[in-house]
Amino acid sequence: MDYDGDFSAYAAARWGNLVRSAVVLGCTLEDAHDLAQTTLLRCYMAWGKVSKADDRDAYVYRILLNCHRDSRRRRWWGERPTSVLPEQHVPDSTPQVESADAIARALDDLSREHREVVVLRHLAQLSEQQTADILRIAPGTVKSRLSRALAQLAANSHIADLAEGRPR
Amino acid sequence: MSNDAPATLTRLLDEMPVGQPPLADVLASGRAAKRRQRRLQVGMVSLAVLVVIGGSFAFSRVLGPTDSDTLVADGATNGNELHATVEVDPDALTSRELVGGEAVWDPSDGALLYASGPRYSSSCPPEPTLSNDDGSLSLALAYRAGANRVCTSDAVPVLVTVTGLESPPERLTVSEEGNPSQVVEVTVVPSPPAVNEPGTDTVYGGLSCPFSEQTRAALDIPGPGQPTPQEAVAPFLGSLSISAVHTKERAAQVIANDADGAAVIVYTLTKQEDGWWPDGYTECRR
Repeated sequence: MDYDGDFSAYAAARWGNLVRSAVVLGCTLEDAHDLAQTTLLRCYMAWGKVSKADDRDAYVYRILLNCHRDSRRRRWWGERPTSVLPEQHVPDSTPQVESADAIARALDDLSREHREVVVLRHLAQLSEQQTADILRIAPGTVKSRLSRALAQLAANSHIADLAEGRPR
Repeated sequence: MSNDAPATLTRLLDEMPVGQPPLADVLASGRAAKRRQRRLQVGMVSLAVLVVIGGSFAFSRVLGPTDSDTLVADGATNGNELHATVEVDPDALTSRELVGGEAVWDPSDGALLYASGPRYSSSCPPEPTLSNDDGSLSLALAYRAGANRVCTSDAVPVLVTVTGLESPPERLTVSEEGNPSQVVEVTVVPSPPAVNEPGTDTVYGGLSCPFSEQTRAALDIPGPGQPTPQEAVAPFLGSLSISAVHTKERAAQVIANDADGAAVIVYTLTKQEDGWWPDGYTECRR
């Protein structure tokens, strides 16, 4: 498969998880789309390295976390100028936004470090060692962070309401 | 409290619509970014090359040939044992009193000298090519073909020295870089007057004794000048007699013999406004 085709296949397969991961990291749905798109753009620029990496997903999620940290550190440059106006008629996305907003509120108590561990371990399905390598922390720290994060989620009333189907 | 929080979170995330991946936008943006990256790389490489060239140029300007340096290009030799060298030395031309486009034969060195008409970069002298067909000597000066060198922007004349000629040619056909061929008349530099540093067996001025037995003295007399060289030396002759007088313009020699007829002293004289004055003499030790 050629360069673009290989990348396109990979990007299409990972798009959903990248957006969800961005939401868990604390982005709004729109920001999550931008973050996922920026991540894929960086992947495309370095696709030669990404495609040869031992673990592609680990490489790509490392990019995702770096992009997210960059976006919080300085002005957001994720949106690029384009010759085609992006403002187009789209269907009402209120339900989707509400859903993302509910997740965001549910995860509101988690710190950035805890969110990153949840994303890498649960969404990206990376091992403890891979997670530790990406976050540059010890595997034991990954365990403890994940444990605390899950404990916080278990105690979260929003999650409990959502699980029992009560109004959000 | 729920013990199923991760599962609930995962279900909520799965239910969240994420839309279609904007692959076309990502590919278009990625290609454009790659083009920009390539242009930037090309620009950086070009800049690096310019910096290297500029640095080399500046280096050659700073440490290039100075007035006291002489840069000599490799010579050219043809099958007739002729050899030419190019010398880049501004002082070389002035010391030989040569002007641009002039060719002279130096008999003392047995060499033909040619001062270039056009000027050349002092760090990149032209290379000479000689040919001597049917007695017609030709010299071509040109930069080395295909050479990719960094040259200083100054312009100096070069001096070409051709050796191996048995006799001075009458003409020299010169073809210089970027100029039409021209025929230059070769001027023969007159030989410098021989300096008579006599050997030990040389007899000076007709004296009868060897040079090693001769002594010289200067005369400082009150004057006035005398009408003839003979009268001027008369006070110093004593028992000697004048055997010969040689006069040339304002100089003269008077040779005197002893009683045995041997030439033992030679007076040198100079003619001043009031007559002849003896300057000194060379005599055999007695």
